[in-house]
Amino acid sequence: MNLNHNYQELRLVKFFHRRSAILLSRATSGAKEQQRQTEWKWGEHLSRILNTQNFRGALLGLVLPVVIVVFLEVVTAYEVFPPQLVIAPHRVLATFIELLGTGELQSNFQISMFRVLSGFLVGASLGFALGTLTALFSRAERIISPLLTCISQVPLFGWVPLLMLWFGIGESFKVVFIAFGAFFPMLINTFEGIRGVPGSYIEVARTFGFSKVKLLRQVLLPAAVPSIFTGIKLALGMSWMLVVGAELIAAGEGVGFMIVWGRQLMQMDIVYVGIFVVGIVGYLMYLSLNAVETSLMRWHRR
Amino acid sequence: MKLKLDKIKRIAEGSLLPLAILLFWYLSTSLQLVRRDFIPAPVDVVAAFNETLHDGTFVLSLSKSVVRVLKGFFFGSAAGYLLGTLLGMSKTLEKMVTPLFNAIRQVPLPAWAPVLVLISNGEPAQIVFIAIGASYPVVLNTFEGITSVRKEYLEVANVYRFSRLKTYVKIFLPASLPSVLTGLRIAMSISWMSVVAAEIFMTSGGGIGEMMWSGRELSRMDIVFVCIAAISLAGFTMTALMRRVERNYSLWRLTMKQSA
Amino acid sequence: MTTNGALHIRNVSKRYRVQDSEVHVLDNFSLSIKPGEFVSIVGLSGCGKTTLLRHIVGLEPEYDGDIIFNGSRLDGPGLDRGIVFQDHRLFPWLTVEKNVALGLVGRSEKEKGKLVASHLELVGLKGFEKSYPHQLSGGMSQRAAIARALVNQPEILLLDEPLGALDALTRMYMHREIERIWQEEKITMIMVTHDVEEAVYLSDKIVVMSAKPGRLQKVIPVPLARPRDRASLDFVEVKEAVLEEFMLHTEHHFAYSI
Repeated sequence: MNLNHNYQELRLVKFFHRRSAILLSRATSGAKEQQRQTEWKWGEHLSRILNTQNFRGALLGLVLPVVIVVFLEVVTAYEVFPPQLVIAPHRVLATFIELLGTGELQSNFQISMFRVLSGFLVGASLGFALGTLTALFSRAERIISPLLTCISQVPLFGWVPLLMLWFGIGESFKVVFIAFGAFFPMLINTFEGIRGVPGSYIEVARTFGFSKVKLLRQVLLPAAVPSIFTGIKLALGMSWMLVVGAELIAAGEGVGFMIVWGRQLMQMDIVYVGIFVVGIVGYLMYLSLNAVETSLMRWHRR
Repeated sequence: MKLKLDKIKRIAEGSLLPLAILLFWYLSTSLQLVRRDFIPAPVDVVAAFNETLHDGTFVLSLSKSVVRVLKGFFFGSAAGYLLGTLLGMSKTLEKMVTPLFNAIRQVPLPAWAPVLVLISNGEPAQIVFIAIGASYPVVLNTFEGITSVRKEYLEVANVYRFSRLKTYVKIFLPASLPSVLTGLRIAMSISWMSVVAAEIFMTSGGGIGEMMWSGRELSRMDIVFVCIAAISLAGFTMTALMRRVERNYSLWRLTMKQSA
Repeated sequence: MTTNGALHIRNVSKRYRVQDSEVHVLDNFSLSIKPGEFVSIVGLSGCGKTTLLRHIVGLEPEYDGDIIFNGSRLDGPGLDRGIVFQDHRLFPWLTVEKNVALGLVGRSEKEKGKLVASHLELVGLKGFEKSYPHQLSGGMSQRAAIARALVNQPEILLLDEPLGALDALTRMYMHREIERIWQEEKITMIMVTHDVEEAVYLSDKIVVMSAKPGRLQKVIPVPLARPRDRASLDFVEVKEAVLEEFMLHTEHHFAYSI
């Protein structure tokens, strides 16, 4: 199946993250090692960590954000840019705390999260089911995949007018829209994961006379786990993007709505808090999926 | 002979479902099973296409969007290529910029729209919006292309005491090209998705996405259908062109691998 | 009509169609193997020895002629035959223990545990039950693969260049191990190999095959006492006899081409 899309992109993202993860794990494991050896010499221990190259690497990563924050503080203090547009970071932080205090942030966040999860569940499970079906039966692939390829050519936001008309502007519109986004990455990665299982594994199963069901459960699906997991991550990332998009277009609540609302009131600090929150949450979702993935795939050759 | 028959069979099987849907669409609309303002009849869509073609709005909107995509794609991939190359060639820069880059990349693209609209009105905001989306895959792929250059090649550069620039021109640039092209292809497909979003979030001087959006507001579903089809087709064609370029170069990559 | 556990290969031929040309992989191949025998099949690449093995194990059930085992013609896989491939083919997502248990069906959990444990001990992998394949060396992976193939207690174990990917020293060590396992399990083993010394060290008889099409060239018995000494004169003589088969073959071609 050839969906003309970028659903494989995550392979690269992973690559990018692995580098930093390796650096991080080296830093911590090195530290653990040293802790065992010189547990009583805290001063020496600390200075060793501070001297390791990896720690310096981590520090380097902080340089740019700090520079940017300082720059923004200075710039806003002297009002170089229009003060409605560029807000001092400390004011954004204050707004963040204020919104947390009133509970507005949490309730908007909960609503967005609920939409994402329901859309993701619907879309990803459909994608998984169809991906498995088309991978297992080449007749199903021949019949279904041309249609799916056509549908996948439509840019996701092209569906918005149709979905709004058919489902209104309420919850079901958002869930269906998000499900659309989650469906394709899950479909293509499940399909490719199962189709990519080495024939040599299948032969082993054949010598033991495995049934079709047993073959699927004990060989094809486990072997496809890495690819399926890539699909899950991409699908969730896509869902997160689409929930913000959908809430910008039509919503009365949610994080995306909070951003629009802040803009309409010309309170850019609220907008920046919104952007900050969606970014952080997206990142946390990604990191937690990574953690699940590593624990699921301990067998994977590192 | 047999191969040909197989191919025909394959095409027949593949068009089974689309044809069934077309038939169902045709029947349900002509038999008035569904409301026509919910799903326009095929004839309505063709008529709307004719109408917008004749009054010039179709061509004008589509060409505006195409130019917008090209501009956003160009700026985004240029910036992405530059950043990816710098990050790939300098370990210090990689450590300095990567965390921030990763953090920014997690912000869903649509979230930038409200900010962009305030900073620069209309067209420039849309182009920046598309450029942001297009830059990510180019950064990632360029970075990968550059960092996966074989050590042996770099040792050659060391032996001949190449300057940094010469190392880049002679080794990094050609060796990373296939990967960069993959990034560009993905960027093109993202650009098309982004242009629609951009034209919905930040209305300005027209475009096919805007035409679609106003079609929705006027409850002209026939126009919406025409626009969706046009966007999909245009996006497909331009991505397919990129894929072709990519494929030509990956052939070259294959020979490089074999000789390695 | 046959003794239990005996394998009779009668006039087996196999042709493949590759695009428009026909490849004759096996031509009228016949061989009988007694139960408990260790037989090696040696031959140049493309002589059809691996194809023959795949017919016996049932991965390629279509061929002309008959392969009779326990009185019935083989046309598919069965638990009475186990196979060890050149690449160990352990599933990377399962522990060694679970990999070995993979083929066990219709037994109680307790029985399963016992069988797995005893077979892991047989191949010398006790203590590695919970390891994942990527944590094992090449030799250990092949031991695990042997345990997996043996755990159903097959009557025939097929070995397809099982030691081909190992280094020379590990290989010699594994020869002793395979011999020991064969003696303890008392089953038929049929091994395909490129390594003539390996064949002489392990086999009761060596089947030399010629290539294109794959035919039986000669069966050479190895009447040496075990354990065998690679440096002994008898050993070297048998080895020379096997190598002779290949030399003669090439000499003929040489003569023709002049």
